[in-house]
Amino acid sequence: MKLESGRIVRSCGGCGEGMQRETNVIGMTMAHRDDPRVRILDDLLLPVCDVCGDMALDEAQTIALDVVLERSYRRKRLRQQCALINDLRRMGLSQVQIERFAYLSPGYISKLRKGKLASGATFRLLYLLHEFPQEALRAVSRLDPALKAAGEKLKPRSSAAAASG
Amino acid sequence: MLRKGGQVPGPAYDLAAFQAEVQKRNVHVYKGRALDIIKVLRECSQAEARAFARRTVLMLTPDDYAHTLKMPDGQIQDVYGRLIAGEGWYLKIEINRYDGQPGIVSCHPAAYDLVTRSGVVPSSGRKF
Repeated sequence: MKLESGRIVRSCGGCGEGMQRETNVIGMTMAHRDDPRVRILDDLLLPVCDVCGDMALDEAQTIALDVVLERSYRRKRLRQQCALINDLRRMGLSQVQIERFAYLSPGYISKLRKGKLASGATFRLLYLLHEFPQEALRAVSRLDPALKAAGEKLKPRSSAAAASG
Repeated sequence: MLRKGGQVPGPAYDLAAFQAEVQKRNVHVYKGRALDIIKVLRECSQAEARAFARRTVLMLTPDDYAHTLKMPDGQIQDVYGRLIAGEGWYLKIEINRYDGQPGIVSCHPAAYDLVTRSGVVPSSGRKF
């Protein structure tokens, strides 16, 4: 879908040089919640300055931007958390062990795979476990010795794609 | 590099009339120097940041007026300073010269001391 009107909406008070034109912001990245780079995946026309890139938003535009950012954030985060969990499972960790590592309720990992959104703290714990599995399990097994065996049985990391996108 | 505005006599806009428009939600809020900063400080959504900016402008009094800027393209903007929860805040408002709509250009902790009619609003010590 192409939404590129280019219509001038107003002069830009942010830089005092450019004009804010109706622009489709699909593909732009913005901070949202705990993610500093959420790429907008939906079409949305907003006034964007042709010099500095700033925007001046009315109430409806602000709400619309929140909605598309939240939708894009959820899609990215769900994809990331599923990739992280699948990678951890391929390394030989069971769902119970992952839950134990992050001190999650039994069955929580299954819910994350089925579309529940992890909190920022849980996501970062999973990310840490994915990036440094040996070290993370060794450290946390000092608190919970049952995790020691899990660390010893880890398989070498496969070429599975990391969930960094 | 973008040019900066220079100071001109002011205030250019009637604060009460501006606030009446803000009260009616007839205002646009800039993302770069208002929404994005408030979002980070208050860990909130764009809509909540916008509501905060509106509330802050509605708290202003004529004594909070600091100075008026003329931007390179001729746009005039009034700058206000106010203590919010003990911290100096910088607010910049405009009536857009192109569409005539009121706008909140800046709403963030002050990066430098602001001399207002009621005295000096100290810098927050934070830079954004």
